[in-house]
Amino acid sequence: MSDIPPPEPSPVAIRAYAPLVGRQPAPRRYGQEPRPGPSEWVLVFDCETTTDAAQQLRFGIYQVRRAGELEEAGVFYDPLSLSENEAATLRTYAEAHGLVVRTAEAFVDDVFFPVVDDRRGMCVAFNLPFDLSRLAIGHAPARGRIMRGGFSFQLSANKRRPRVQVKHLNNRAALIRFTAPPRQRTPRGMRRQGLWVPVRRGFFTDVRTLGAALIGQSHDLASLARVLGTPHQKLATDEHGGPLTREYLEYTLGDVQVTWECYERLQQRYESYGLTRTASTAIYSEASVGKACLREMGIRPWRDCQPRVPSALLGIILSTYYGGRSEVHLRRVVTRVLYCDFLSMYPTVCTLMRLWRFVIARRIAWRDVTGDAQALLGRIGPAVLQNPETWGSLCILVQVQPDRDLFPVRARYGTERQYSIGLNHLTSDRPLWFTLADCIASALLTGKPPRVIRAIRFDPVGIQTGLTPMDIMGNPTYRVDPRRDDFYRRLIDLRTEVKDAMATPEAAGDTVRAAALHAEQLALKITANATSYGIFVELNVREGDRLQEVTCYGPDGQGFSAWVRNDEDPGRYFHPLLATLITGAARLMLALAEHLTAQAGVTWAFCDTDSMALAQPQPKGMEGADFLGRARQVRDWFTPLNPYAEKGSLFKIEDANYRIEASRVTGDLAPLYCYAVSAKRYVLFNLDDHGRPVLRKASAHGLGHLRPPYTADQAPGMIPEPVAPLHDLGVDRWQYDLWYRIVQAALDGHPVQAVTADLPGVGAPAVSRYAATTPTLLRWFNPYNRGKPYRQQVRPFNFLLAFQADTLPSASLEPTEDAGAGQNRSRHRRAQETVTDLPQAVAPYDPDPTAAAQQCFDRTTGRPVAPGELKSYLQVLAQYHLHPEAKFGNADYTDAGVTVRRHIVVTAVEHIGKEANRWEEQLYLGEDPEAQIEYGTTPEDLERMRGTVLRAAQKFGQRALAKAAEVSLREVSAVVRGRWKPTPATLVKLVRAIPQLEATYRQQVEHEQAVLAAVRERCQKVSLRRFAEEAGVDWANLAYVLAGKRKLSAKGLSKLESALSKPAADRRQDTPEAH
Amino acid sequence: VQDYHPDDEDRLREAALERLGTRTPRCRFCGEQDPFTLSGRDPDVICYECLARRSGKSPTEEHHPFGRRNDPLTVRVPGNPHRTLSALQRSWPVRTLRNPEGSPLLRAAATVRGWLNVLHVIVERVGWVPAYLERLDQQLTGRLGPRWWTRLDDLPPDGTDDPR
Repeated sequence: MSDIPPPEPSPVAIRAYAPLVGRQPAPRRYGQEPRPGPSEWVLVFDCETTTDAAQQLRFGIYQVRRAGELEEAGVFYDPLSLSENEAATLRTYAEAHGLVVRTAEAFVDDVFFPVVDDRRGMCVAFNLPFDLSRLAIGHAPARGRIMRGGFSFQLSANKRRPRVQVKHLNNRAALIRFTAPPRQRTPRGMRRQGLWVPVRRGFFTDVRTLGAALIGQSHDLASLARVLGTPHQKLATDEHGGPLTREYLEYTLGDVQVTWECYERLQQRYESYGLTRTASTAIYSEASVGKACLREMGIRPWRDCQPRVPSALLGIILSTYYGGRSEVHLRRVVTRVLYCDFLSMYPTVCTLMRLWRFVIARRIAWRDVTGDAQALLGRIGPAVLQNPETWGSLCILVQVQPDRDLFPVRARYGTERQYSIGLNHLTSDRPLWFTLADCIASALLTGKPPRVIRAIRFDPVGIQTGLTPMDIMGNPTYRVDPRRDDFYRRLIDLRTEVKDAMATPEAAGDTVRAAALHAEQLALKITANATSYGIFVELNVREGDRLQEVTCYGPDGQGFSAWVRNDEDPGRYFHPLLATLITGAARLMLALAEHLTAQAGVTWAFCDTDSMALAQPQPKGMEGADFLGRARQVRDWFTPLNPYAEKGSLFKIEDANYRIEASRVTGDLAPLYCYAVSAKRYVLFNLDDHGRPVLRKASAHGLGHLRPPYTADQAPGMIPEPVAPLHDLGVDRWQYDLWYRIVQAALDGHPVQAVTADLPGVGAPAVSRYAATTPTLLRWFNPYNRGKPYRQQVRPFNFLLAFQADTLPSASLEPTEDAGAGQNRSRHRRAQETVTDLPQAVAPYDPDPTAAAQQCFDRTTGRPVAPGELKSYLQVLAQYHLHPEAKFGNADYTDAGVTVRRHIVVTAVEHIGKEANRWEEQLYLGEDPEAQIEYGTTPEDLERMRGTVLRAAQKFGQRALAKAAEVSLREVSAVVRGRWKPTPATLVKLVRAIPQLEATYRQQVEHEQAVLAAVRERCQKVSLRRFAEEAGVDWANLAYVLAGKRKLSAKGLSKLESALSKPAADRRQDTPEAH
Repeated sequence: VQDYHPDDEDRLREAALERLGTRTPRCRFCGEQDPFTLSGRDPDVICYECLARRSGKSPTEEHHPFGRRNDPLTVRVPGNPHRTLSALQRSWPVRTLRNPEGSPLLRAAATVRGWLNVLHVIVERVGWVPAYLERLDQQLTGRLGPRWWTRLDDLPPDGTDDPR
């Protein structure tokens, strides 16, 4: 505790529960609304487009199938996009292959709608939103509570046909449905009986979405077909955008066949899951599979079973919620490590804490256990935690008075604009809530239990009725009885059994059996992970079109009113208590590992949610064998906690630690080294006989958004080929090369200067590719689209390019005709665009990024950005290996070594919503603070903040405060004089600026003291009057300043500095003695 | 005027299934499965004939086999087949069904379509009967011999197979 750094006043953020005021949650009607499923008809299609900015449809191939049998295959085309020769080629090919030829318009009217709408057939494609948007003849922003933020496409000129709405969810999934047709759906007779026919929404399956959900990884069509082992595999082509040839038509025809086969295989796989109560069209992710499993077992959501849980309690529960812990401990230092991870972390802590009882409970009861919690914290230690029974009693939330304790702290560290979570020392004069697991972690790491004010224990009561056993994968051997089994333990045990059983067919070369078992173990893994965490904290952000009032509940249990545009809609199985207990326990596991490493005399390099790299202490004072022995002690400590049938340590040694021979991992440990830059940004490597790095695992964090500057076959020859498939390493080839150079530089003793300039293509502008997935993103291209016919415009789901601006362009200060894109900016947004803001450069898609750079413009103002003002890959990557870690006090660009935790003193508690909202958009286009839902602070905190601002304004001056906070002087003045009630956001900005001012003030004082010390010294040599004369200041005034009776003005300081810096010769000449 | 579309029956059938809220509808009283004859929402589905009987109406109706505008002829048919026949008529080209000018050719087309629809319904409703009769004959031949109809009295009176 003695080495705690100086306190830093800062607001902290906590998750809050904020239901809308005056709106009762709509009664859920899952499964109550009878809807017939899809018919036996299926339409599979694929579109090929131009490769320019418009990506206009050229032609497409389709198959209409009935009960799996091909009824019709055909080709459709856009007559304006194909030349006469190309159209002739198309017809000839179609005739030879028995394909029906239609125009795109005829395809929509005679095939698409008759099959998908009239016959209730399934519409299937790979990346369906893109293909649907290619068929569109118009679009508009989608309306309605569910689809707001998406697009509504007009596919047919026939007004009786419904439009198709598409709302992008993430890069794997989208909601797709028909709009309600403008006619009465329910016959009069049914209306008289009070019956109604629901809107026909159609049936759409994006093979990419279903594949990612059932396989657990994103795939392109080629890799998905490989994984599923379809009879046909995707062909390769380089002819995208080129003249239409027979080979290209062959390729597209093959694509549709492969899409169909993937769909068929995925349907079979889904049916084998035995999830009869959920249609495959409702599967968007692994979490959907998890929810379907719970539904299959008849488990009702907690909020349905116990709808009257006080909102204040939910606010307290959510305020304890933090995600997984991820941080670097040994920064930018090459260290020998043993890289370990926890076996199925979240299912494991669910099992240890017996959380399944909560999932199937009729209700949950809570009671005060303050004394017990305090007593437990007083006697807690590793020995107590090694007993699995202890973990079952951790279902407790604790209100503490933080006093330099180590807790997860969510704040905007340093100059970051977004919140991040760091395990930091926390002091607060107001009590805050944490899980008991977090309190134990703090006690372990600091040696001091936190001061408990109150503790609440949660217990499940009863078991729901109507629970039914479920056969995982439809296999009676894999039966799980929700009433008797611990679901998570059973799933992991089954998975271990299946994995063990895979060894026999693999050894015998029975690839079919091995593949089937692999699919089963994958399904078990997905089910276990999907039901053990994410669904319990599912909060979907609903975009609103106007401000709405919510009542915000936070850690103090008192609701306060807040107005927000977007609100949060809890998911079906929302259970924040489970979510916070699970992540809290996972953080405790890591804290235990950290504590044990210290006890074993070793250290650690980095950790990430469920893994930790145990490190050899620096400088080397320990032999490798000794280090491994001590690291194994840490690993073995976790063995008694293993709740599964197959015993062994929960803390497993990862494959990266083992020697690799002929691209296969052996059973021998090889010295593994680590170079970690910041959280999630690290590389693990071996050293070969010549001391050169052999990369074993690397992170693509901070690189994944960039397009590769070169392909694998253009990789520089001087960098050795990877020893393992790049997929196993976790990076692309160019990322591998970058990490190789970073490690090489570190090994060569110049870690700051990683040589990347000779990598191919790094001089080109760094470019990211994203898609126009929301109307907001598309709106930036209004100036580009203006005056162009629809088919030449940039449209929804088109690929777009984002660049990074280097410097402020001079052109950005000049008004242009294309400035219309910024017209719809809010006043607040315009006010933010100060001259320090760099342009946010975007461009229409072009396969050649250099050509695209010519069309670059600032997305907020619409002004053009010259290619010379864009950052190259070289510039963007220049500081990649120096990336600061703001949550630590000493992790700036060039800092290296052991990171030091900050000491945060809470000035205010900000209440926020979901943190990962629109993360994908921010990944490609940069951080957007507006994506974060902020409910603000309590009225008491606001008053307290205002007091802090007043004191700061007196101390530093209003002007300095306004400048540091980037707030207008008029606003600060109005706040100080009490003439204006500031918004919470303004107050937070002002409060956040104070530490910076304090730091500057301290520096100024130190500098001033140094100058005055020098002046005193000089005055002892020459008289005070003489020196004052030289400096051009009044000697009496200077005497007062030196005596500490008067403040030194900035002008006076400058004069003194100037006098002190005069050359000695000049001074001698000026002195009377020199004459 | 809308052109004839061969898939309109599919469209109408799907619309009926959607209205019923299930892909496998059944009348909860008689087990009728033709979606054109059923009403209500799953699981409370009832066929026209059962509904008529339960509300004291006649389960039979007058049907215009060639369309009212083509021929005033009506025949009395059970309610459920009438629903099916009417649905099939709705899938005719509108000009044929309504025949606004009284074209004799359209009237002839309607006559043929009407008979085809009747045959269609017959095939749908009693198409299973020939195979069933043949199978029954085979069963009875096996038990009572090739001239089984002369030995029907040998069958046990309670209908059980075992003469003991």
